[in-house]
Amino acid sequence: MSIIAITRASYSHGKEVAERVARELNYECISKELISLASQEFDIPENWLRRAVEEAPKLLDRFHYGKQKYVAYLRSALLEYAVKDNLVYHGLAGHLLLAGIPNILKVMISATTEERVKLVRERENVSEKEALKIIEKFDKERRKWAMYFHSKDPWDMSMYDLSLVIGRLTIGDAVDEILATAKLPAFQTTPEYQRVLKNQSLAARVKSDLMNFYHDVEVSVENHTVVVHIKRSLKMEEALTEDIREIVMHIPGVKDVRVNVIPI
Amino acid sequence: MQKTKRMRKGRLWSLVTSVPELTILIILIAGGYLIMGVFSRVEGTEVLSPSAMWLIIVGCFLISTAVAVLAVIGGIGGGVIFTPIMLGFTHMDSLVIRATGLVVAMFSGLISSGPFMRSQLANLKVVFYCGVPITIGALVGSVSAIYLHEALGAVGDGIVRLSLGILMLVVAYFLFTGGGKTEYPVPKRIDALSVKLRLNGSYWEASLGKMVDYQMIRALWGGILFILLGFMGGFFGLGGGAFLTATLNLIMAAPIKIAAACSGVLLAISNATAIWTYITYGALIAIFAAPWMLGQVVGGILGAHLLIRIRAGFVRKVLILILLASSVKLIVRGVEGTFGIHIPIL
Repeated sequence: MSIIAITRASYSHGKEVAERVARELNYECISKELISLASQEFDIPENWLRRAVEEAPKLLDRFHYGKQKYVAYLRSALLEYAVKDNLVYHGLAGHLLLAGIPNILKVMISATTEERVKLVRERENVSEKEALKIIEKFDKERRKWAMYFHSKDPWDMSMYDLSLVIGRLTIGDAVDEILATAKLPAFQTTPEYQRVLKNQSLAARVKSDLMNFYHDVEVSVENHTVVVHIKRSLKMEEALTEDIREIVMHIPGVKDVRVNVIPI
Repeated sequence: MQKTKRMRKGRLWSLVTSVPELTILIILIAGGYLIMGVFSRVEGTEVLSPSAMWLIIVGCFLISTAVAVLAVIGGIGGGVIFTPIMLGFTHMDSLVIRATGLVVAMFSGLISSGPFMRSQLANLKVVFYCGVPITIGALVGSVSAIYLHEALGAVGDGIVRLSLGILMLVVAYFLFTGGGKTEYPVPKRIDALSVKLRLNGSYWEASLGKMVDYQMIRALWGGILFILLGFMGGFFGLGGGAFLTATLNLIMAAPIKIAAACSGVLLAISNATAIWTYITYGALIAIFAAPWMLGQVVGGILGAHLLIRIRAGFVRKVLILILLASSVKLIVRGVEGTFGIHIPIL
């Protein structure tokens, strides 16, 4: 009974490791399927969502907040899935999309440069120099993405419970290591953690809906009471409270809505 | 869509009935202009033709409404936008601009004073205490502005533009960074004066679902700073609400909502005082100031109640850019006016 988030560097056998861990534990394994799920749920073309997670934001993205909205959709879809428990998620920044859930096992899978170059050359049929360029480009994009959305460097190992380097370890070793760690009490889903997860899931859902109108909201949930934090002029408090209540009250699971207007 | 429209109409109507003082003010001013338009005879005047006069009135009203809408959405005072732009980019008399700037700032604060007082977010004890030093500062500031204008003439205006340009750079930086304000400051040491003045209170925080108690501190330092802030407002003809809020929040440890609400009321009080000096000097021209005043009220209401979904972050960034452009222009014109140097590019 646990949730494992595997963040993987490109061309580092992360997918194979994740799928083997899921198979061993008899857990569901999702990655790119998340995009289809979010696409269906929020009625957004898949390629828009894919671009939101695969490409670092450009200058213009800083003005229309589209990517932030799509990332919020993805988090909402992933948390809805995570509530069911027994899940292995692998992909970009799983630990960031699942932030705030205490019992998630956060794993980073990377590989030695030699191993990554070998894999790129095999898959893409390119020279060693080109392979290095491809790896560098991917790593740079991912760093930019994570820094923009979460202000965190994805290669900062202090964010992970486990960091495994393929090349120094075999895929089998990495799988064994994850399986052993997943059994530790800290990563088991308790009723308390399940409650936190459900609250986070509802908060993510509310935030996704609100982001269609207000891109800069923060949402927290406790006992089905939603608290929306938004930075605006205090003069807007009354109208904002009314408008946000109107948007949020129809979402299943919401019993009350409180709006905290933080003066700017 | 229909439901949202109905909701907004309902919101507007409830505002009309719940803030009658503003409704009456709008009706009276609009009625005044209507009567003036129908009965006044301005043919033959050498100052303004009737069409030019109406162009000024309608134009100022529309621009003021737009400024007020953007100011509310971006969380910036109307005076901080009006005065630097007008002083930087127009050749109008600097005292007339500053007097009108005070009207803009005053009404920017006034439209929210009533609701803030009623909801008890604006603490009356705090407003009374801070109102004294800020009023003194505002009065000294406005008298100094007139004195500088009379004593130094064009050079004095240059000094005003230069110092305002530098001040606007500080304001732009402050607005960009947010100033490090905290929602619920926790005072480490409470001074005797603040306790004696009973600078404390409590208010209903709906988002927490409970009453929030607070105790303010550093009454003496706060008082001194309010004299300076009042001087700045009266001298330059701006509100400086962001500085008032920061002083109340960061120095005097008021919760951010209390600080924002009190600063709105304090703005209205201090600017109302400072403006008398300009009125007695003849620097307040009704045909110019009244449409700006009405625009602030109408735009403030539109921004706060009907255009709430507009992206505040974007509007704020645009306003900060406008402030930066104004401060550059002010500094250039200030240097030109003070030192007699011509800077051809800008």
